[in-house]
Amino acid sequence: MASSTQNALLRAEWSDGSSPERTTVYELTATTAFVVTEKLPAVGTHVDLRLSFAGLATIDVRGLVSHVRMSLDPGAPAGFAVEFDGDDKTRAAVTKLLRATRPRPDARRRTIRVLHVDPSRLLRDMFSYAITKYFASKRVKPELLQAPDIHVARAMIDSGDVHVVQVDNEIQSATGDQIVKHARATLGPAAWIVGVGLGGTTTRDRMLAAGADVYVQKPIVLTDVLYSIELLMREEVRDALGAA
Amino acid sequence: MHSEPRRILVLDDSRLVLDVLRAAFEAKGVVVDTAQTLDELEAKRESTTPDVILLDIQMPEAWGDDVAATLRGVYEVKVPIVLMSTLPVDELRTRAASASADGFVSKRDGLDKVVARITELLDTGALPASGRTRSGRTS
Repeated sequence: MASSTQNALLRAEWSDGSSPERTTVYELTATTAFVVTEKLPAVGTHVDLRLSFAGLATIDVRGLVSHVRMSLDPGAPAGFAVEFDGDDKTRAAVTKLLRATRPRPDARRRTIRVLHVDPSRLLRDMFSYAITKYFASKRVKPELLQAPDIHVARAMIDSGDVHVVQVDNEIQSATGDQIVKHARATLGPAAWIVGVGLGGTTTRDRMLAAGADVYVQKPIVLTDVLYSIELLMREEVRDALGAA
Repeated sequence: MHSEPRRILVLDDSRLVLDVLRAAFEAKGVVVDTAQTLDELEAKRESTTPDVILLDIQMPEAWGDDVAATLRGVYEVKVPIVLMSTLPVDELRTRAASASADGFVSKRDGLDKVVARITELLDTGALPASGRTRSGRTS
């Protein structure tokens, strides 16, 4: 399995004074984070960030762009690293988010249903295998549903009993954002929806506009998704989402 | 001497890399099947019987080590699976071991070295020691 950042997939809204952009943040630590974006600010720019996981534990922080990265290879998206301001308020905010999303093996969990929508049999099998391995030693496991196309996906979503939906943008006879839109409208705000795809900003914006919580450009780090699923299984998260 | 030509299936998103590898392997009498996408990999896997599968790690659709783990763990592929990449060797080794791949080759060493090591694997059943994983079954 590809290496993990050991972080949940965090939603981010950032601005350097111009219009804000919604995207994803990786590698959150107490002092830094990596913001995925093709809109690269200059090193030294002050940026404002709003970070959250699944709409919970939202924090507002400020920081300085410490370096920028162009996308050169698959798996290394373009973006910038930000060093958070060192004031007490920022430290407290980041600590709050880290505390809410850190691993807690002793946490009580409930099983949830995860729908994976992807036309590729190999990618569906890969996801299923990764879930099986990741949760093999854990007492409570998610239930996995899989859909190769929009018809099967809609039927499963319409059952109403789905808590996480991961949708590939490259679906035959549909686009991923159509499925995301249907999932959000049917399942409501408590569902956690991840859009994935080969595309960059345009695909991301379509997925987010349709209601996805986060968009992840392929190749995705499966363990980050699995870690996020495990987090969503915690009782306090289910209760906070009002989706027991 | 081999009674049947040795055969390799290579996955890489770069057409150029595939063309270079094809030419180099064919010069050594190895039959080469190539795939640029996961769909092509699946189609070639169903229609051919490779002696070795060589997977690039940094693929646009998925990490090659996740592909390797799935080939091994779900589809029960028995032939040697080798990962290749420009990633640092330590990371390459870790990813190969974690994926239950038999070994790895670094593109940083040049594609001629990649070809030499895979040819050695085809000839002897083993990669050079520096490219084997601890779980590598070719050692």
